[in-house]
Amino acid sequence: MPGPAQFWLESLPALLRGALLTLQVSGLSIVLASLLGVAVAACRTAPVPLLRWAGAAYVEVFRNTPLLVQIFFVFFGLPRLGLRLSPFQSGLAALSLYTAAYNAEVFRAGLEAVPRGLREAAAALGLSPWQRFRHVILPLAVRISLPALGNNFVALVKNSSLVSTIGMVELTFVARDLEAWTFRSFEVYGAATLLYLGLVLALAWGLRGVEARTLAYLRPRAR
Amino acid sequence: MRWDVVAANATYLLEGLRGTVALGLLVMALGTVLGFGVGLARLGRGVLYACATGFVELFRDTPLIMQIFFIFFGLPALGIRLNPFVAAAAAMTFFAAANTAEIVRGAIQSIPRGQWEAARSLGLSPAQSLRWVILPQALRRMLPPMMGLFTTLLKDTSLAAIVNVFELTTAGRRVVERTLASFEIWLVVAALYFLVCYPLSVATQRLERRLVAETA
Amino acid sequence: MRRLLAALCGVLLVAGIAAAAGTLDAVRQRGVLVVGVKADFPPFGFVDERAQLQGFDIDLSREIARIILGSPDRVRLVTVTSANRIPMLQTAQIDAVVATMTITRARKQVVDFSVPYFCSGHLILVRRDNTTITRFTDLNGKRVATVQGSTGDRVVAALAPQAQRITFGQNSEALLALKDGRAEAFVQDDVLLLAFAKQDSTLKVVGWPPQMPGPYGIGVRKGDTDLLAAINVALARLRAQGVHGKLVAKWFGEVANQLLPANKCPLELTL
Repeated sequence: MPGPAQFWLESLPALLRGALLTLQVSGLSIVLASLLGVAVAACRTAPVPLLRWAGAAYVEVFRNTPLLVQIFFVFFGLPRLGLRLSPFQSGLAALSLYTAAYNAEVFRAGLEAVPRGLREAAAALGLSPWQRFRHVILPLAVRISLPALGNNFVALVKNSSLVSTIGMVELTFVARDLEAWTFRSFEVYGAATLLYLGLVLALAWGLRGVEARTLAYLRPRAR
Repeated sequence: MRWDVVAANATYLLEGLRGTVALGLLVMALGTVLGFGVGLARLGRGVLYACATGFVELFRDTPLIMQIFFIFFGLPALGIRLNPFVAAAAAMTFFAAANTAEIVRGAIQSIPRGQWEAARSLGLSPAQSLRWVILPQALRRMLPPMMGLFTTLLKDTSLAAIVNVFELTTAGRRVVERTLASFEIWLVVAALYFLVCYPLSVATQRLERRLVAETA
Repeated sequence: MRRLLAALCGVLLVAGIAAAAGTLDAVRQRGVLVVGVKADFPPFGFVDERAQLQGFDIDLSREIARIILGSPDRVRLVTVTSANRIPMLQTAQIDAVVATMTITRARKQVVDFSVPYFCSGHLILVRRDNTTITRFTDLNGKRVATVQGSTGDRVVAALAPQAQRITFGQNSEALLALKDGRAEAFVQDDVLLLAFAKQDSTLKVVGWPPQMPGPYGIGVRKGDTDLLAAINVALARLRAQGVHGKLVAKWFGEVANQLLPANKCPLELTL
């Protein structure tokens, strides 16, 4: 048997390929979950009761059931309804739907934090309801939401490990596969854990940068 | 649709739900106790602070499933051999403790400095100030995020299925194995999780609103 | 709460003690053989409607307990998966693995195997209307369902390296993916696929003769020579008494004559 250092060196390319797919599915999910999250939050704060109710139902259903069960349902259950998604599509869909529910709550808090006066001012300027939402309220709400949103994105990267159960060959899958054929559990899971730690810390660092830049205007400035 | 499959396996699924709730309660209790210790250590300085910070970062920044794998499959290399239930419970306890620690620290640090100074000037020791002045106020602020964490933990017990611990998701998998009724079984399993998690969420939201109303 | 904690301590303690003592002595002393079996591999091991474990491996375990300990009820069955059966053995949760485990060169480095008790090759399960897949080389370029950690997964990698493998956690999941069209084939041990095809007329088995045959063996911890010897004696006696043949007939029925004869099996699968 090769020593740990040599073993790590040999399995690193496979693990890195897995990490790349983890990044891809997480990145795409971040975009989809943000768009969907804004839509759901808009529903939840809409003046139409039916929309508000639908938005609330969406959030409660996806936040109060395990992601793993949602993944199983999307991949193994939905074909009964004629919806056959590949492992990648299923994983992407489940992760996005789940995270969108959490993002929606963050956006909703952000929307509610936008001062009333600002909405009224925008209306007084003659902006249409859509223009008001798109150009005045949403940008501000997103900025207010940024820190909490960052937490959701970090959780998303960690949660992407669950799509390994439906055969998507991301980091966790590669680790399990290597373990199943080499029995070097300690080395394999140790390396995979460190890679996740690296991914998450890099993401957190990047998010702090974005936050600092977008929220700079809120800090007191020296004159 | 094959709802008869659900009826025929209802007892088995409910047994799984009992496993889920038992594992959830165990992890909540152990995680809260350990998390309080770690959270208080995070307020201090020196080696204790460094260890607590490392613990929190490690268990908050890596996927829970990796922690379960590492503890169950990896630790035997160091001579630590745990059965799947203990391994999953241990991983989830550490995960819960790391998150509890951050809640505890955040709540304590959110209490204005003036409170500390006032308590100290009354002649209370730092430990006494913490125990009699700061903690009673901080505990109220911890309650909503702690209950949120409990809901998360209850959902995350499903990950124990991946190392074959008997709980609701495992029960669902085994029934699907035999019947192939994946649509019906996974829908019912999701509904059962919802049934235990939703009341907890609602209670959390109510409590949050009440605390906000009281402080406003 | 306190009881749960106490139980937890107990479990830890028992696990520690079991690892320390000689396994056969420990088994005799406690009067129970703890065996890891599958719950997701019909007809070898599965959970029936009354939540009871059933199957060939379960019956075989009971027969071994009958010979070693005097009664078929002196066995405790613990469910394992392909992924965790070896760690479960190494961590002394179980005394032996009777869980469709093929004797391979790689596995021999971490566990000791009994004499073979079954011979299994690999076949391909496809939907009945499929005409493009008849041999293993036809799998190149196709989406093929396999189970993680199974020999079938390695066989596809070896015989059809251009196949796009979709790997699942258990057999039913791979079967579902095949049935609903997200995989075009499912490669696994012949006996399992034959049983699936017999139950479901929309499926058929191709790829004859079974490829890369390998023997199933009972696994024990490395160096557990006394337990291994007792198991080997029990297996020989079960063959001599005709019990083994009866179990094959009971669980594999008409599929049995499509299986590879034991004398055609190599001693191990080189993977």
